[in-house]
Amino acid sequence: MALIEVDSICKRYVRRARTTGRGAALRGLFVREKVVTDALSDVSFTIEAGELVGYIGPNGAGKSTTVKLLAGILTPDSGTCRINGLVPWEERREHVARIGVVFGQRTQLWWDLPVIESFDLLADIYRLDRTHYETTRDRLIDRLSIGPFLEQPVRQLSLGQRMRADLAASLLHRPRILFLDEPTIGLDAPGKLAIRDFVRTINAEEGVTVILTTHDMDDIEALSSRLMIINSGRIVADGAPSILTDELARNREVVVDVTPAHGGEARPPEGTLAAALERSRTRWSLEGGRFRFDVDPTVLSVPELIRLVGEQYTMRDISIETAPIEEVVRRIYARTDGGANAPTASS
Amino acid sequence: MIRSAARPYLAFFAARFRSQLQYRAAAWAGVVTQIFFGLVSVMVLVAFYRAAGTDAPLTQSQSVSYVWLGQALLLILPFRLDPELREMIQTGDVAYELARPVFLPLSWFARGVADRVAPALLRALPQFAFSMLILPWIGWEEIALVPPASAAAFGLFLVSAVLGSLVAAAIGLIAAATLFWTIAGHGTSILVQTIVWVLSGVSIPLPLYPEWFQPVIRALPFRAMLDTPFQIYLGTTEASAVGGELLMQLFWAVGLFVLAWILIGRGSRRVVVQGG
Repeated sequence: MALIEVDSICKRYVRRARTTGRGAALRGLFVREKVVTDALSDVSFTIEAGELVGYIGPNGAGKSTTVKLLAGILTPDSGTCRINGLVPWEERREHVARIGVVFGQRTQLWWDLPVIESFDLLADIYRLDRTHYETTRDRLIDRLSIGPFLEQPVRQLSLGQRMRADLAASLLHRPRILFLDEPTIGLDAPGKLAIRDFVRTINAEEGVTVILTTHDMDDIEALSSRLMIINSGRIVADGAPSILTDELARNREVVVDVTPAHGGEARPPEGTLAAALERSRTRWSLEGGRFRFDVDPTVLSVPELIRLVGEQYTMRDISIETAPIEEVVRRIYARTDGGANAPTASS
Repeated sequence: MIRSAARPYLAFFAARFRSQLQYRAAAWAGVVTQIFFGLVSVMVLVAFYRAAGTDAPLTQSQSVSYVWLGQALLLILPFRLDPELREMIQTGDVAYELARPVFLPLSWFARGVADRVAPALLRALPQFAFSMLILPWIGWEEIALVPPASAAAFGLFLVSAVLGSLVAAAIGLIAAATLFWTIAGHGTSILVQTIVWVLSGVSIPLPLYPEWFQPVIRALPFRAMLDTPFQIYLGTTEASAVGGELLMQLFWAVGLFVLAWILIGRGSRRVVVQGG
């Protein structure tokens, strides 16, 4: 039996909407209109012990809802889930005692208290054996380099320090499963690296199963051995990270600011450039002297594209970026059968 | 076994208690303010006593002492909603609290008790010193806090004040739980403030209310916060009745906590079902 089994979970949020227009305020006293959002539609997956799963998707796709369900703090409308043989939302207290959760946007530490006192408190809350707790705590402090700010109140910590302290806090009771919801959000580059290194280590060396939601493509490349991609409440892809990197995340957005060779407005591409764009099926736009190319470098290389642009225009500035995660997910979605019943806008 | 079961909640209490003790400057400012308000109230009372004659249910010095006790232990009262709970409930972040293996109403209750006991303790000592020692020393015995009726009365007063804090914490928890249904919470705040102000005895000592109103006061839980301990301190509750009074406080503390528990259960289910 798999460690985590999720079977056709649906979760819908019902929100009261405010009506607009004349008389709406008055009408609102008597009639409340409801807006229904399908946060998760028929989500199923299994995760084996020891996996490190990246769970990605755009904002509002259902990532956090899934994590909250797995953490036992939300109840689904239908579907089942078993983790360690427990149904999270039915046996919440037993379940949460065996898992670790970090929500990047929040801290589970006590704002006013020094980090070390928050740890001691968690030892009480999880009813940990004193000596076991101290061993685990000291190792975590060492590995996450928390020592220097152990005595500082949490409110004085930088975001990176706080996130390391939160990670340690989530592991004091030695859970075998760790849920990380956007653990690198807002962190600077060294902060992200420290978190990634640590997550990789506890997964590889201690066999902790990790489910990590993120927005950050670098997190995924650095960490996951398996990716699940969710969009509009549906899992649209599940597999090795190569599903992203091989063919979908390869597109580059190339932005070039140009000055027309003969003054005036920049004219649309002609000749070799137009032909190359046509042949490679590159989508492009030109507005106020700024080109945006969405180019697949295996068909038309970025240097070649820039050379061709340079033949026709005087270039002032160039920037090249990988496609944002929203764009990648959109493409995967368009490629999968999802195109048939196109997603309606969700929260 | 019991110790292990209580361990998380004692920890919640201790954490909050320690956080509250950090606000020493606020405590000193509070002491000054409350001494000022105490002096004003006491002088108004003395003026009434001079005009009204002698057949009041409390003697003048008992009334004056009642007011000083009220100022000293003012912060036991659930005057304001816990801002952190308010935010948590309003934003739906309350769901995150469920990620800990604890019984939520009890951990919030423990926190609420600490929120009342710690600041009250910080302020009570300097205020007792002022109203019981400094005022007589500068020759104002007439408006000073009288010593407790007896050593036993003082001990029972402390027990009763702790029970009063539990009742107050339960009332605060009920007020917070209403936020699951209302959005802003201003209404709840104002309602609770008004009721507490009038019916706890902190504005006018409860025994001074008219005879016909006394059954109403006795039927409601609000006197269990401050009035019960104060009357034990002053000795106006007879020794034989003290046990019953303490049991009554315990009854209110437990009863109101259960009510808060039911409300939080219903309310958080809304959040858990409807999403956060």
